[in-house]
Amino acid sequence: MVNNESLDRTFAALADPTRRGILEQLSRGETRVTELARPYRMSLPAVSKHLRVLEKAGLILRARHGREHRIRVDPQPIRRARDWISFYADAWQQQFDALDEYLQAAQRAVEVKSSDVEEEEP
Amino acid sequence: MSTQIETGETSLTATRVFDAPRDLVFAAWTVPEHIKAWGGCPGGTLLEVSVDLRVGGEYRNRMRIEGVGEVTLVGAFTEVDVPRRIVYTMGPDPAMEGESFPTSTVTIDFIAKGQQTEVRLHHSGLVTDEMRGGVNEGWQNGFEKLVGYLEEQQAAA
Repeated sequence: MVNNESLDRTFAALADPTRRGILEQLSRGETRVTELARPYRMSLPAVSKHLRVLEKAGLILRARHGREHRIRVDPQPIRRARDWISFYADAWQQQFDALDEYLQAAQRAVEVKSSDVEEEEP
Repeated sequence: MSTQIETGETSLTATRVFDAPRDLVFAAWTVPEHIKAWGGCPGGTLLEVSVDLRVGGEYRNRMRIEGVGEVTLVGAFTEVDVPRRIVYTMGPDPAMEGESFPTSTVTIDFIAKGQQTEVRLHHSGLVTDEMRGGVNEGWQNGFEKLVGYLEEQQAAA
């Protein structure tokens, strides 16, 4: 599911202490870009640059509320959870298909048997 | 006839009408000889099936899955109402190492509709809070691991 290229991007993004700090801050909840800049005494463009790297690495999500950008950590656990549910959905779908086939075959077998019996009787 | 599937955040519901009487559908789901003929997960072959169909009774499905190896699913019945309803838990065999998925609950209602049977299957508890991680907490753990890993790499360099 994870390819090497995206893993490289993730590690490259995390190699920078400022970006790790930003993620740590974000792990406490959704934050405005201006708030993210404050602890680092950085200009907004400088923070934006870091955010772009994190965004490309798939580590954060950006929501635009008018002129305000809010940033949050990409909820990977939720994505994994969704994958897990759809894995089971596919599995049950296939199980039901298999059961349907089996039930049809089983009933045909019974019909064949009972018609054999009828023929033997007279 | 197709399967209707609705997915939730931690559960799913699958509904399908089978062109077979309820007793047969119920048996197909609960009698090992039947289960062996159709059951098992996709790409899997059932090697061993045992079913003790009563409340508190256990079942065990040992199967071989292509590309994965042997997997054993075990569980116990918490409700048995022949041929209308069964509820059972489903999880990894505790004796097997390296199996780590949560134990979930499967509720199946078999509804007779003339010569047809509607099966309503509800599979719940698929995702634990731990797996979802309360988003932040889960992320934080992953994050801490990554940071730890990076620090090790830097120290080694």
